[in-house]
Amino acid sequence: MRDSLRLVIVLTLVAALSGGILAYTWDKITPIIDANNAAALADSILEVMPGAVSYEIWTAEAASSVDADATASGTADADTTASGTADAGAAATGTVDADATASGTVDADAATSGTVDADTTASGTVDTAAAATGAADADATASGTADADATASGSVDGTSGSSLVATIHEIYRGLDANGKTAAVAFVVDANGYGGTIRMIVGVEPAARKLTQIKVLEHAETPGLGARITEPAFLRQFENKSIDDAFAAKQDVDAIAGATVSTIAVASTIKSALTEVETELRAGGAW
Amino acid sequence: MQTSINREFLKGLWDEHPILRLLIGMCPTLAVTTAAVNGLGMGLSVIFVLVCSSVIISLIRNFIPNQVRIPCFIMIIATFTTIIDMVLAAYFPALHEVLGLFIPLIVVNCIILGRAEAFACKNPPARAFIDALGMGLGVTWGLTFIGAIREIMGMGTVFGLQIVPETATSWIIFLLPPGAFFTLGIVVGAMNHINHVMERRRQQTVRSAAAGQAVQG
Amino acid sequence: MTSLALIFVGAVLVNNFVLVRFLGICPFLGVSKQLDTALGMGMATTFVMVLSGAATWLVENYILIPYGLPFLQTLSYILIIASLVQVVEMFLQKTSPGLYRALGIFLPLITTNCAVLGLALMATQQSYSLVETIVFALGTGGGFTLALAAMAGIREQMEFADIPKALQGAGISLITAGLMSLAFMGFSGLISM
Repeated sequence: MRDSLRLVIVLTLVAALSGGILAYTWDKITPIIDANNAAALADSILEVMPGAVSYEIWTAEAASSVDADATASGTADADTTASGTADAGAAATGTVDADATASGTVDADAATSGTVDADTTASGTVDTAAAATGAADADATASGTADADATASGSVDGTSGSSLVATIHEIYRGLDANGKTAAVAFVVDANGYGGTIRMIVGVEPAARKLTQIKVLEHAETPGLGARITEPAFLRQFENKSIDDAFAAKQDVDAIAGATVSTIAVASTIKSALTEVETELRAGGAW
Repeated sequence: MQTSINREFLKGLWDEHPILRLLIGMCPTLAVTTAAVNGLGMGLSVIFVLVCSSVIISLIRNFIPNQVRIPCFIMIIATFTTIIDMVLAAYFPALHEVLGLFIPLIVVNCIILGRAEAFACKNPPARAFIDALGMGLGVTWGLTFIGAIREIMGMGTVFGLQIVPETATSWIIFLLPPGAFFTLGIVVGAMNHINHVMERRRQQTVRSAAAGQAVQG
Repeated sequence: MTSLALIFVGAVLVNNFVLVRFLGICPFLGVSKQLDTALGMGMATTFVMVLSGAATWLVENYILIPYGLPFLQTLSYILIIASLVQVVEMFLQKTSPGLYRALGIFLPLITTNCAVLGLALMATQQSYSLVETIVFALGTGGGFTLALAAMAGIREQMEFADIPKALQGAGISLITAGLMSLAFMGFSGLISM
């Protein structure tokens, strides 16, 4: 009996110690990871919009006229809006970064220097329209990013014959020094060969052309599909008209041995562009 | 004593090389060695977990009842594995993404539990430290070496530096799963061959020394 | 239904755990000398995979996520697998001595089989539902058994082959595995996930 008691005590002790050490490390490390991710994302967003000095999140809910697609996904957000208005008070009391709330944009320098903490990141996703009505929602975007813009479209790519679903995540509006829209960027998922390819695409709505694209995450085969991250491949999308066909082997050079990855990138961008344009036009932001 | 500590350290580097001689911990060896730098990163992570858990296990070896030995070891190893996982995510996000699933899987890497069972729970901390460091360095050079071969053959680079002219055709197969098996198979074979040759030489010198003595006698 | 079938086929053939994802290499090289032991090992592993897949799913979704404890994931998963293997062993010993004799010797080896922990972590990563996790576990176990059995079949034939001394044992097994992996790459165009 005493022996088995000793076993239990030793096991519990080791488990408790391990758990304690891990909890402590987690506490210390999470802010760093979040800050790194936020800084990396902020870097990428500004990188694909060369004309912009700052950016803000654009959400369909913020726009006065919401199109049918957005409402469909927007119904799930009833809660988020509710919690968003609740946070308006918090914004007023200054828990959210004051600058960010006032202008509704994230300070680009703060974001890139990597000193962003969790709060600023949250406030970075505050949308202008909402801020104007006094409903700045830190929560809504934190939890809402997953579903807010998830207007998954089942657009079929006619040229390749395979169906590719473009899942658009956030849409960002890049502002120039005068606070005018310089460019728009959006994060989109493509179904690649090895898994999801997450890209960020920059567009200049006025000129109807892409600015730059960047691959954020992918799981393509090293040496083949993974070459979608190489400048040689990405450069052909720079300043490309959004009215082009985006068809592999026609106006997009396919990577040898990685046609699937190439098609995934090109046709996802094409269908996402159509969708983003519709959504932004509906919101009066194109 | 000095020589025995040396032997404790050196055995992991060659004679009892965990990957190439004992053939344990093969999964990460095959999976993460698409480039030399990935192999190095994985090797260093293994050193961290191996050294920390060996020392801790050696320190508390007298307090752990024999029946619950394994669960305790596993918990200690899992703790250090999770720590290195978080540290890599925070400071080396690119490497963390490449190694991915294989960082948490260090927990079931037979090398670590094997050393805990076979060595750390029977020896004082200093010796456990030396043993773990030797084994860890063995793993690191093995992973980096295999990573370098696959990177040279597959991309013509090593640690990202172009060493084969870019015009030469690179053999993509070395970066794909079959290439991992081929490379490891050949390296294990080569290691065996070197040991056979060394063994034969040693026997020959012993024999010729004996023959020389016989002549003198 | 289609997505479940895709998960299953994907796990068995396209992303075969052993030959494409490099999980469970130790038993693949160690327990593949004879066909019947290979089948026994494969079956025991599949069994534990399904159980631990379901158990880790429950723990992840009812304990770790609600209480915000993601840092305990690795620790709790490995403990679940280790204790599950122990329980299964005792249960089989009591209730079904025949099955225990067939699978018993393999059970302790499964705790440190990285395919089992890998499966649990991967199912969490893909945020599969409980049913999807179980189907994924069945597919993975099936793929593992297939690879093990195929390897054992080849090795039984290789007994009589004249292999260079240095490559005998692990060397030739690894090169054979490379050829099998090459063959399995042919499946990669089968479905796109």
